[in-house]
Amino acid sequence: MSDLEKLKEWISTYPFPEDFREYRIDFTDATSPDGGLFPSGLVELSRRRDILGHVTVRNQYNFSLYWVLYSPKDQTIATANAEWLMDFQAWVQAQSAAGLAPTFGDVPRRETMTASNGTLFESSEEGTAMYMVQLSAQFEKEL
Amino acid sequence: MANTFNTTPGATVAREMLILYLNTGTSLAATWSAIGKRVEDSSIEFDWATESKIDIFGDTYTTVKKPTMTQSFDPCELDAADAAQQKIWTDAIRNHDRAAMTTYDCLLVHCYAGTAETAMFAERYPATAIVPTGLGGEGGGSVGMPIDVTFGGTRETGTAKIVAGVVQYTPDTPVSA
Repeated sequence: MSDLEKLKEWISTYPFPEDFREYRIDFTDATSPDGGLFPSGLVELSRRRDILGHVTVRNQYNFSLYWVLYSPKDQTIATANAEWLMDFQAWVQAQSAAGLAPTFGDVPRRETMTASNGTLFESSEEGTAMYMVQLSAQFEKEL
Repeated sequence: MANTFNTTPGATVAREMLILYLNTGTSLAATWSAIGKRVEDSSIEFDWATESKIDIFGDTYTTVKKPTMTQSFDPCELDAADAAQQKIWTDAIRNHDRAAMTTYDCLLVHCYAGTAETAMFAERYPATAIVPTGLGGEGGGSVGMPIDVTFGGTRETGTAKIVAGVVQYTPDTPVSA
């Protein structure tokens, strides 16, 4: 299973209020409830070399998660959307702390998954709104 | 004068070309296991017991004794794939076997000197002391076992050949009188 598939499968276990469990990659439909996972690259944070020549790198995967939901013009809907957006970020933190988030490296206990900057990204005239959360996974690989 | 070093002139020697091995086999059939996995900085310290004196004419004379060589490895995170570490842990942490802790058979291979890969300069120290100085680490991290090595026993020089990570040591032929 690829890293992207592992991430998709894990995110789908979050109990969203809307019925969209299947995330699409690099795409969201702006006219109906939908979810999209947008990978935005791998960053090497550090590189270490031991005295025997072994190399260990610490990497970070970055992803953006987009959700298209009903428009927040109605304050009841807006509040509900904002609440589960905050709850999702807390869920990611709890999953990571409990070791339940997917791992991508060679030392699982040194891995962290964070969700941050959850926000309303844009609203459309069709009565939907796009929300976004940034996901980051830090992990170590022994090369 | 021919180059003693087998590395490229003008280039520095990579740190991984100086490796200390512990014999995890027997004295007759040695198995050389590297020490220092995940250790990022470790150097051999030489204590030559240097003494200088100035005579009545104002000239300086210095005496140097055979060196006491020590080396520290920190943090040495425990790893089941590290045979040297498991031998040291068993002798020191589990058994408190002080005799074993002071009679380790160690081989210091200078991969940058001699003939690359097939006959590299090596020194064997058959009564080396290896002492763990701690065991533990921070929460969320790994268990580390830092060690101090004091090279000891009758020093023997020779050459080492490394094939697919396996070290074969050949002592120098003694010069007959």
